[in-house]
Amino acid sequence: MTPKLPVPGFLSDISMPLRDALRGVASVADVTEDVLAPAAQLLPEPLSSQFRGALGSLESAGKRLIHAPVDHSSVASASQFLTGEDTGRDAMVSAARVVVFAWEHLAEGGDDGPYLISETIAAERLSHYLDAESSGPGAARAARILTDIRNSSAIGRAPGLVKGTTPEGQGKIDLALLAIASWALAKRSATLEEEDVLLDLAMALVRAMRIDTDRTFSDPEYLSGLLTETAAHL
Amino acid sequence: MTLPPSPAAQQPLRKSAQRLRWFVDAFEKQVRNTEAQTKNSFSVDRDALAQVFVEWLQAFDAQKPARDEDKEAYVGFAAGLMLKALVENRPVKLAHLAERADETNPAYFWPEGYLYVAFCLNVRGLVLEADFQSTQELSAVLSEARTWWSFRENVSEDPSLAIAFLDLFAGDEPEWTAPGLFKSGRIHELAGRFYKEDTLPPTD
Repeated sequence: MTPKLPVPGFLSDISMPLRDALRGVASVADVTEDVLAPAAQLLPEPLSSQFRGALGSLESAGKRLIHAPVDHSSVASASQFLTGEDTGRDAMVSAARVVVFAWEHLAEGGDDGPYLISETIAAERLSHYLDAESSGPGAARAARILTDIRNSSAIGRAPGLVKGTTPEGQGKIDLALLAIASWALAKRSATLEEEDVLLDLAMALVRAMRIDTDRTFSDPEYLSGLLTETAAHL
Repeated sequence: MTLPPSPAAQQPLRKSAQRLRWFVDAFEKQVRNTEAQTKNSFSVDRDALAQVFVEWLQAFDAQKPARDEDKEAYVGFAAGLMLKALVENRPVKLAHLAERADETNPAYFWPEGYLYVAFCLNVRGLVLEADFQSTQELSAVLSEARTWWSFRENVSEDPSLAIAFLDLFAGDEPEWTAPGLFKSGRIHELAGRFYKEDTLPPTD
């Protein structure tokens, strides 16, 4: 008798790794176009236009397909997972989606370089916090989860393979993670559009606070206090 | 001016003002109101506005009084701290001055400064009214060109004087010598200037 395959512990959404792959494709096309721009100019027409067109199609197709559905209730659910109010599997999947959604939203408006996030790896790290009792409630739990994702290979030039971050790049990643966690812990806005605005304000707030990110991520108690403070003032 | 509602029905307005989302919303409403009234137009830098908020919040927390009887006086001081942070960080730029603007009018003499003062006075007045059932009586010097000339000159050299100027505009007695220091018990000191000694209750 063929043994039954075990159900994967965290991978309840098979489209997660697919979306990660498309994120990679979209990013590679984006970077390739920049890198090859001088060479592409040397190609005679119509080859030059066709080359740019092909990369553009690849990039836009990837970007269209990578977005997992995020709505207002999934933002609330993600927040509840981070604080420990709801430690169920659905809330965990929402948390992974919402963290990725927030990361990409902030990356769109910034100049933080091509750092990608893997929804699959983020979900795998979050799956370690399915048991609320082992990690404690509120901002302390959110601080632990945030540090875990930060120290994993979920974010980097090639998530899961190459982190490839410079100290300056790591500082920007840390600020974005702090903004995402502060936003997730703050009082919810009325609509998803207002949540977008609130996320941008969270980024502006943590930038303005000139936070020492090295200290923040090496001192869990300090990080927990900081998240409580930023969420309260957002 | 209509300010955003407090997030929680029971929350005092002065507490709501300690949230960035409320502050940005209220400030942008002030920008739209001032644009409609003056026909000037402005651009707002939200990152600089967040910087204003953070600096204001730090300064606010640093001198927050413990005694309940100081809280009302602290509203005026906190509004002055806000004006100081706005003047220092300049989150607004004039995009377009109204046609045929009379530059002896403060709104056209220093459009950004006028916007900052209007915002701080509006928030100050509304917090006093909503949380302390008290009214703000603005001074006539608020429309005097020479006062605005002095205001602009002085705060460019010492931004903490913005706190004293806001008191002056709001009809309070300014503290010119150390404007950045909140004096505990100031409400009693101010009361002493307006009431004759013999009308005050006897002390033991």
